[in-house]
Amino acid sequence: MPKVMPSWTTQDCPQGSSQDFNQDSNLVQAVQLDSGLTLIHQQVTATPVTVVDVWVHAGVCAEPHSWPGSAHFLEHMIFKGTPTLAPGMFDWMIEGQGGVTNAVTSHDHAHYFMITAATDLAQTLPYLADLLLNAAIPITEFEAERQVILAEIAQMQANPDWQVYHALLRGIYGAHPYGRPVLGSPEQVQQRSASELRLFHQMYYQPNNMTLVVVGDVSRDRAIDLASKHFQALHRGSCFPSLRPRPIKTPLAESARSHCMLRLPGIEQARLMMAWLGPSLDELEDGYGLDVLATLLTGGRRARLVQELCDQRQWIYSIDSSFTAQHQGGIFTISAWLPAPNMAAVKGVINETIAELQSTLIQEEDLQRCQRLLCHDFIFSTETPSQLAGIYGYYGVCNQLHRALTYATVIQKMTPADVQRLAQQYLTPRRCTLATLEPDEAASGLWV
Amino acid sequence: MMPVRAMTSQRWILANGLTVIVTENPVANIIAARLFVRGGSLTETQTTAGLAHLLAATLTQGSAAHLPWVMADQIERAGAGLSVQAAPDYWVLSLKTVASEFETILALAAQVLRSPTFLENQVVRSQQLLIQDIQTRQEQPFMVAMQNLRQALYPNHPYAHATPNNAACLEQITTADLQQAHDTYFRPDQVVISIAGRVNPTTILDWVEQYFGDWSRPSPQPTLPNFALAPASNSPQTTLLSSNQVTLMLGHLAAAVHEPDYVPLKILHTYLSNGFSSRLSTELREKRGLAYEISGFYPTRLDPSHWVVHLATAPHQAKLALSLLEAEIAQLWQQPLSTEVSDRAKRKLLGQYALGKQTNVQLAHLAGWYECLGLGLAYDAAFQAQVMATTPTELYQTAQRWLQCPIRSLVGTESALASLG
Repeated sequence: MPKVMPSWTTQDCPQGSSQDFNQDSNLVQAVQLDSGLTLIHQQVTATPVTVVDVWVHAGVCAEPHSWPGSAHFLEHMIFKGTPTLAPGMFDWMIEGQGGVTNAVTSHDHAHYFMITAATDLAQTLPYLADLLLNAAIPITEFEAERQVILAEIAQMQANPDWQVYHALLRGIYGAHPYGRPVLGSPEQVQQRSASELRLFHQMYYQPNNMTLVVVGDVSRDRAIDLASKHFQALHRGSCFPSLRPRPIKTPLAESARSHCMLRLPGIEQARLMMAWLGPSLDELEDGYGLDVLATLLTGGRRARLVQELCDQRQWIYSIDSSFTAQHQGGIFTISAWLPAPNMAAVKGVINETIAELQSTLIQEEDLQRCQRLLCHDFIFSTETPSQLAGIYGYYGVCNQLHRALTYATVIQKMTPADVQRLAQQYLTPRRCTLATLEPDEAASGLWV
Repeated sequence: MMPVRAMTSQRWILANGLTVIVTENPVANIIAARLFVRGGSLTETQTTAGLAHLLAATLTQGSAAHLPWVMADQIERAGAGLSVQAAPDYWVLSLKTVASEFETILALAAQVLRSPTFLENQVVRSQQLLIQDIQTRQEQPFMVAMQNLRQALYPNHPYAHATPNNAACLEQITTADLQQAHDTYFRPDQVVISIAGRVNPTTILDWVEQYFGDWSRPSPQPTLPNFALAPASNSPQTTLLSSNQVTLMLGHLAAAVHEPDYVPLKILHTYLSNGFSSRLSTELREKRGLAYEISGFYPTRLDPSHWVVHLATAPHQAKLALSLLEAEIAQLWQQPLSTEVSDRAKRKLLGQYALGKQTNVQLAHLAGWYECLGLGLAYDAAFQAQVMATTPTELYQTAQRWLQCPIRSLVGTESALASLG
């Protein structure tokens, strides 16, 4: 029998801002099926669209240390079919019915989603389950797909912002898997083999390592029925303990201050990125709190760094700040696009602004501006089944579903003292990692 | 197949000629609005290239009633969003807010559209930022290829600078030019206000009447500059850029939205270049691994649009990729698609159309946009019916009319481009 876990409703959200959104939707609920699969379901009747999103604990962190790039390569090969489903057939079928499907690999997981009509679910879900559980990883498709991934890497590398961001990740996470690009390097991708990917697949793509999210006009019983029928446990024999990645030590508590300076030809504006390690998913409330700090600094025209650097001094073209959550330790970044000669002065103003947040309580009115902006953004980002499924999957896959809809509550109850504490705890100058990009007029050649 | 929700919008015209459209959608306690003003880049001449964008950038920089930061303060304290963009055929003010703040923000939007002040220092700053954007686009091979293609397709038409590309022109624009453009085009009979969300249409209409009803309509009506579209250049457009890939882009002038070939060209675009199961993705990516992203676009435009496919590939594969791209386009006018293949493309197009009508922002946009383009709300259903009714023969004849002479726009290193001949 499926084991029903506690359920939550969107009505947990207070303050009139979000309490009555999705008024005709039922509770979101997690259910553990006999196969070990976790099913997260919410019936939303106001839409003809149904979203299925399958999250697998098989991101970069799950890669054996000697197989970098395998998680993402496997994500591509999943769509190459099974013993009973020809390569590309799944895309062909979903898109031919007017639906959409795609997949994403990150450091913590890979997820696969499809958007179809509710009436098509019984027809499409078996194929998605088949792809994930019985991927053939055919050798005949392998070399062409390797070329596709090499082209994907080349396309990423052609983006200067990507270059700076990855220099920053290397600097802040060092040898931790979070420090390497999800796609791997071209050399690493050249070394991957179909047999490696099959072993990786057998180890991780099992129902007990997956979270299936279904949001749309589908009843709970029907969702349980379909999921139980099509995601059955597989008996694949032993695991491959030798492939288990090295356990991640706790390298994230202290990062040494580092500065990576990049120079590239053909660059029209310099970039300055500053980063600090943030909380892990266990301290999610601090992560939400860092969204308030980011908004205070760069969210909107009244934000401190926007006013100071864009409007008043006019030293930069634009600036952004955000907190990116990751299971084992997120990252808080401030990114500025600016003329290269202003680099040092801009860095100085950012440091002073942060120091002020650490020494002085912010005004209640400032805090309210940020709280409103964030809570309202949250409402606007939970309108569609795809948006909801994405949020449920992200939290559900790490057993934090109950947190998925508490965002507004946590943000609303923050005080100026909380903001000061977060600035003091996380944005310490000695833990700041820097990456900068400046134009290299003298250099020629390729961006590699 | 993806069921399509019919749009249930209501429409009114105020005494001063302003159009109001309201789409009720009670799902969430939020309201999105789009305020369209007809014109956009179509109001520019060659000497005023970039004016539409500069006007959009400066509209929110202060009004008769509010200094710029006071305005920003009001918007952000309400936790709302308000921005103005210039598009090829219109300007649009976008706002989103929780229902309880809507009236305040609508009043502010009226200030922005009706009485901007164009402060000298704000105009200069906006000019600098737009010029910086022009320079930054030079970092991106795709943007360079797109710019070259536009120049070739529209030698004498403002769509050539629908994304600003001329810093010298931008610098010449004065606050007086902005004021004059505003006086000419920002008037109630050129405005469509489209609102979607948890609303009471009667209340909404009252508010729009209150904040926009006394906006007087001068005479005569503005006329857009007239452009005779010169023949497109047919020589390849190239730019050398230090890059590890070659960007290949093939473009054609294509039907404007009011022409009968618009819908068939949409279907052909969907068939050839939209999604993982598209013809190009299957032939070039799946089978041969030539590129990661193979895509295309055919934007909806009042004047002749462009029908484009593009990819980025390794230099040693560029020649093969280019010949395959050209061959795949040629097939469209050499022989008709089967009924089964064309039906699939139609279902795909309609499914994506349905998925584009989910959020309040999307609903407000679509209803207002159709009105602004002169298509009206009925176009929502008419478009879908026309898609269903299009035959493979019509697709084939449309391809023969439009897709026979692609213009190449190529970006890569000197040696890579030399190898393409």
